[in-house]
Amino acid sequence: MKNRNQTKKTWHSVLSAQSLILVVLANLLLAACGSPEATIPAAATDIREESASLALNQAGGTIRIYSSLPLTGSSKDQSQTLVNAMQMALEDFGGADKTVGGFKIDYVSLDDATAKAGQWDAEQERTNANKAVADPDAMVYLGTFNSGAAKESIPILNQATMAMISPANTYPGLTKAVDGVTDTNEPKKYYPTATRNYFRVVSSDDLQGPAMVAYAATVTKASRFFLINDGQTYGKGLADAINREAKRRNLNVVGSATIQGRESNYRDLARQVRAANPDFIFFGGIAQQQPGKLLADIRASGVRAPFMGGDGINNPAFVKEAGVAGEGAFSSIAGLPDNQLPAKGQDFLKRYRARFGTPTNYTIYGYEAMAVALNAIKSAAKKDRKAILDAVAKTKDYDGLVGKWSFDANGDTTLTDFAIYQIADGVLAYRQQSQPGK
Amino acid sequence: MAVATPTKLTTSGNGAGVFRNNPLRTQVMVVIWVLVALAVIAFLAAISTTNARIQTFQKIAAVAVPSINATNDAIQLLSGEVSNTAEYILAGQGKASAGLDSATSANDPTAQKQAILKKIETQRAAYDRALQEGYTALIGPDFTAQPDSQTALNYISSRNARLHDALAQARGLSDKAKTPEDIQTAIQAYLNGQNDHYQPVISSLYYLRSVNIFLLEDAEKDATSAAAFQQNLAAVAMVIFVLALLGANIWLTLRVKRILLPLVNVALVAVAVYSFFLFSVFSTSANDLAKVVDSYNRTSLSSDANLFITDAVADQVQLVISNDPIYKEDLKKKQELLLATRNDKNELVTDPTLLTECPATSTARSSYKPEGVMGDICRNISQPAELTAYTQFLGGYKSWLATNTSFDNLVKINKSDEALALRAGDGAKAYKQMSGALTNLRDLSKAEYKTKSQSGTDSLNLANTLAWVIYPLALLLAGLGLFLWRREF
Repeated sequence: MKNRNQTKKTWHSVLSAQSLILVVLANLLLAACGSPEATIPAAATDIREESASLALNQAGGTIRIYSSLPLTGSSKDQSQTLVNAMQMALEDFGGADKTVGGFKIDYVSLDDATAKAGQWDAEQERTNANKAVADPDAMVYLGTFNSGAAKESIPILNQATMAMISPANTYPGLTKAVDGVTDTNEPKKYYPTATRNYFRVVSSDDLQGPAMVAYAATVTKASRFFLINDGQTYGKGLADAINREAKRRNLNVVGSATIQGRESNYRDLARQVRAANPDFIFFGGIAQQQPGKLLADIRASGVRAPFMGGDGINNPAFVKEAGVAGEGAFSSIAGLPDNQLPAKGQDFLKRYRARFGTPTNYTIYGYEAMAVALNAIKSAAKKDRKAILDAVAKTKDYDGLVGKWSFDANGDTTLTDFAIYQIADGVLAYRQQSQPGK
Repeated sequence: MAVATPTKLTTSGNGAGVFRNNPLRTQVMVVIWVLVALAVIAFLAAISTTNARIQTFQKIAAVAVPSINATNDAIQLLSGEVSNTAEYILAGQGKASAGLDSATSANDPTAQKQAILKKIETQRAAYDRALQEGYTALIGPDFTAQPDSQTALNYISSRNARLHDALAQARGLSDKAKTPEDIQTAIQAYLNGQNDHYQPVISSLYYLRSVNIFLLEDAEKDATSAAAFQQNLAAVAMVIFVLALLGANIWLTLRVKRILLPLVNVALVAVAVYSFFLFSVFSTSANDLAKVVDSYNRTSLSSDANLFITDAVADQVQLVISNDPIYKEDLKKKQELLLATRNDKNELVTDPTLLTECPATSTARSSYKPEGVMGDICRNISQPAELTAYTQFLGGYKSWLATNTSFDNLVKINKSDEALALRAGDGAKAYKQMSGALTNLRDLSKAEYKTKSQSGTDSLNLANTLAWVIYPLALLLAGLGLFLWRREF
């Protein structure tokens, strides 16, 4: 076994050195041509230049990066934009032959949804994680989209010391214990080796909830909240975070309720809301759980209090399902609006639109997750899961597409900005930024 | 009515005279008369309030019911139009379509398309008519929710126009399609139009309907709470008068050794009987009003069920023509919204073997487990004919689920043509059975609404009319009787 591995490594090194020389030549040619390089972020160019020098004195090979996202069902379109963005990052950082840090990068996109479930599936997610663990070339796992899916794969990858970077998970309990929000023994239970291997490039709901409350309390001057959640991990976590922040600010939570997402109507709940007379209604949940129908019944009952959800409803599916009753509804999402992104972020979106069409709110984070992984591979400079994991954890003051940020000790991004959107004439219109605690 | 005039008084010594001159006697008499007068005034005020609220309910129902009907019709017709456009594109490809007129040859795509187009035009015209006829009701003065009705109707109108254009464009592209790419373009135009504009219209119609259901339910609650108040007053009045009747009779019997005090007794008996009658009427009427609203809610549930099955059969076509699993997911969601039950893992499933019949007794129905709109309908069934229609629906649904499983399996192995043929055969039969049962359920609910509404209104009107006769008459009789027997006091 040992000999076979050594042979394979040497063979890969030769191939890698050859391919990297070709990369250098290709880069020189591209640089001579000018235009393609102009749109590639500077960091990506740096990596490629350093890759060339590394290739001269270091053994290479193939490093495989897996992504696990729901590519079947209603999340398919959104997830596909993340896959596209990851591929763009790989092209930007690895050039035409996709080589970074002396290693040929092989990106494999996995689907964690099934047609039967119609969405992400726990068993499929575990299968994907086990597949990555069993692959000796696999060093980084990008995903998941759904927080519930991450609960399945983090422990599997943790035992294999494989870095996992999510472009979309927001449930706090994956990285930290938050009083009144996360379950007992979270997040410890996801890390059997006690070493953190999970990171995310989006802000978590324990920040999103407070940012939403901050908007309600400061902009609309609301003080009587009604909280509704869809009973799922994400929705309940967000509602709990809102509740916690409301209490911290000494604001009243005049009622709360949980929906199942398949009710024939929500008139009884709307009556409950009406009787509580709130001046702001929060919803924690996703668009597939009928928040549109819920809002229609709340509005039909005569309640006019503003309605706000998190990133789970910051999408066209909610806008369509709510119809006219959705007009004026708010939603928040981590990050900045397109026009406030750093220049390289705006440039990415421009290039994305030209190539693939309209991006979604998480597309840019797909790019960011892949970029962090490639940076770590470059920094580690060896095909070793532990070394790459350590390099990911050390990500600091990273000058990415969404700004300059670091991973904190829990593996969370240090960015805390949330954008507030409002439905106006059937589209999500940006209103303003909000930050927790403000 | 004969009046018994006391010609000879039998006294029992000095007691009567003493009492007659006792100031306490006057005070007791005054208190009794004041209490009786207050009871009567309160009772009449309550009757008046109930009358006003019932009239309000009737006024609101006169607006809300046509609004609910209009939105139900519009929802069904629009879903039918979208579904039939999918059938039209299928027929254009020479594939088996379930939207065909039975007289049309399946081998003649042109005839098939013409038949479907005729259906679409009929549905479109009926949709417009439904909203036009319901327009006055939909913008009724009681609509105070925000967004207001005019905003909602404008929103619906603009999205509906875009949907209509997109569907027409898709059909046009389908007609002109000569290559597989052309067909794909037509399919994409259809799917984009449906994805972008259909749901906002359906959701906004749902909102309008919900506003009117709230108006109806709130008015019903106001009316029943007033009726309940009046019912309680009737009970109190009944008790007061029965006690007064007994007290007067016992006392007078002891004093005059005669039981027959015709006028007083007639008055008190009349009021007591009437109070009991009112108690019963208000109790029944409150139930009737609740049933009126329940029955109307069931029409909406039946309409939603029809929407879900129509969308589900459209999802089958959309899955085949687009090969996009999102339609499979949507179909699954429609099934869950329609009728599903929970398995051991607490997951919603539509396994036909787990879907039980709607129980025959109302007690068992109230604990019926399956979820979705049909579960709600079962739990609220109030007449045997509805139970029969429900059983008919369930039979169709189970058949359709079975064909859908086979349909899925055929699609999975790329036998789409066979899958579509199955859908156009057994699938269409099952769909018609479900749709027929749901239409029947809806008609039964409407009929129950009319019956209960009429009987509730009639009995309340009768009770209220009688009140204005009985109470003055009872007071007159009691007053006259006591006046005639005044020396006995």
